[in-house]
Amino acid sequence: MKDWRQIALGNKLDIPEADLGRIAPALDSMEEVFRSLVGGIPPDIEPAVIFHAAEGAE
Amino acid sequence: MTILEAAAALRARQISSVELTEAALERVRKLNDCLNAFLTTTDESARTRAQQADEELARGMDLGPLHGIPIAIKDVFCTKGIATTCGSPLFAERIPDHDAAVVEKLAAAGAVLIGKTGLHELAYGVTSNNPHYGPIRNPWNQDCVPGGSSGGSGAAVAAGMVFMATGSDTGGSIRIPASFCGTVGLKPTFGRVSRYGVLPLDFSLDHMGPLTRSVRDAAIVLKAIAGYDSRDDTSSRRPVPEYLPEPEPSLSGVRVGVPENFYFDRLDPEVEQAVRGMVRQTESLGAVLVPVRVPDIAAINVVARVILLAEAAAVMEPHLSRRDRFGTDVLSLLDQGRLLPATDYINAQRLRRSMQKQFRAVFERVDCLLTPTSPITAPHIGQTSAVIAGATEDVRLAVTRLVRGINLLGLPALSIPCGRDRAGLPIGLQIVGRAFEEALILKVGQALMPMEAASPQL
Repeated sequence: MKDWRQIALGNKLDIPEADLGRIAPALDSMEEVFRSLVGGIPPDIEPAVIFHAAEGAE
Repeated sequence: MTILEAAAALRARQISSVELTEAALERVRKLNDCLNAFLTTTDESARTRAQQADEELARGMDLGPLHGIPIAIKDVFCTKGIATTCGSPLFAERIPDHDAAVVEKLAAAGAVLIGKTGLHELAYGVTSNNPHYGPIRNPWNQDCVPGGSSGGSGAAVAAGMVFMATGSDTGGSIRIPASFCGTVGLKPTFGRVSRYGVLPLDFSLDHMGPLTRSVRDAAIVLKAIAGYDSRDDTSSRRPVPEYLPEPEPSLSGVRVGVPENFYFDRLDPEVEQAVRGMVRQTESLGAVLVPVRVPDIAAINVVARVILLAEAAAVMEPHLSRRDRFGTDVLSLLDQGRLLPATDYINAQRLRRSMQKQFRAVFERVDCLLTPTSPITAPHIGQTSAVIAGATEDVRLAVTRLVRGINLLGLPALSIPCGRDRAGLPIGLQIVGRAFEEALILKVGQALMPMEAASPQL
């Protein structure tokens, strides 16, 4: 599992120790499922985000 | 009384918009101290608009069924000149200089705005137990939550304060309060209703829609608020069809999918019994029941959570140095989002596309899916966990379990009441359709619930 405290420190996030302790279990359980999904993404799948090069285009 | 009944009475001169509006304001005055559904009322402007509506209708100017009908707007939609707090002290003093697109469209349809409804802080939660503005209470049992984040809208509609209130739905925030308060709640297809002028919680998952007391009323409101808006990059140019179902539609030939996996796992037995009863009813109305296996919804929910955590944290990043301005639960979610790497966010958006393709195959076999809206009925205010089928589950995760994934897929979903548990709390049925096929799910909903939703004794 990731060390969320180190990630917070490394990113200079002002998250108190007690709050980190509370959120770590939720992140750990999500991380476990998510990491297994990432490995199966076909390389040609693009992210589902929206950007139009010209304003008003669809 | 429904919107359509009130509209008919207005045109028959049996009642006036002023009388409907005064009755709504009086109901708010009587009940808001206990329910806390409204943050703001707009008494004077409502009276003026109602008077105008009466005059317009008298001289033959008819803007349609919402003309002269008192409504409420969730306090996350911008309203010109009226405080729009988003349920947060960060925006307590904010008076927008413009209306949200949905507010514009409802005004153009002649609706009378009587006020702004309360919500879970920043629309980021399912209880509407707001630490800054107080808990909103469920009209069926005031010790229980109304659901969220559109809890004030659910409570206001269920309590008969207004005929309709708007909601926003990022992970169930229209359907959950509809389920807990015993109202109809419609989350339209992503892109069907403009998000312009609504404080974003999540650019990828936010949807706008109505809470009403009947399915036909939800159809009326959708017709009024749907349509292309160049100010919303995700807005669809597809024409807006007719949504209003017949009063007693036939379901002959409709293929109703009944999930064999996930959606009926770990339910309160009373919820399961009520929903399965409705499934049987669709068959008696002519539908063809099709057992289906759905893609991994638990995985879809996780992907939706990654996107929500990251995007909501990005939206609130400028405010996060003031930790005292956030409630504990919301701050916890925002902190989680800050800890996720950019690669996770991008991969979640890639998985979204991949999962959309997988789910499309389900709708080649069926026209809609029937599921429970929530595995439990409304929890008590302050309750953080629930025992469901012998296992203890976090209330937020449990309550969003059956609805969150539909936001990732962008599909339309309707929640209708389908009974009450032994404690008298409403149970919700969710009807999920193909993208842009709101008319089909409204037809199925109307066939199952041809009458107005039951009202609590208040």
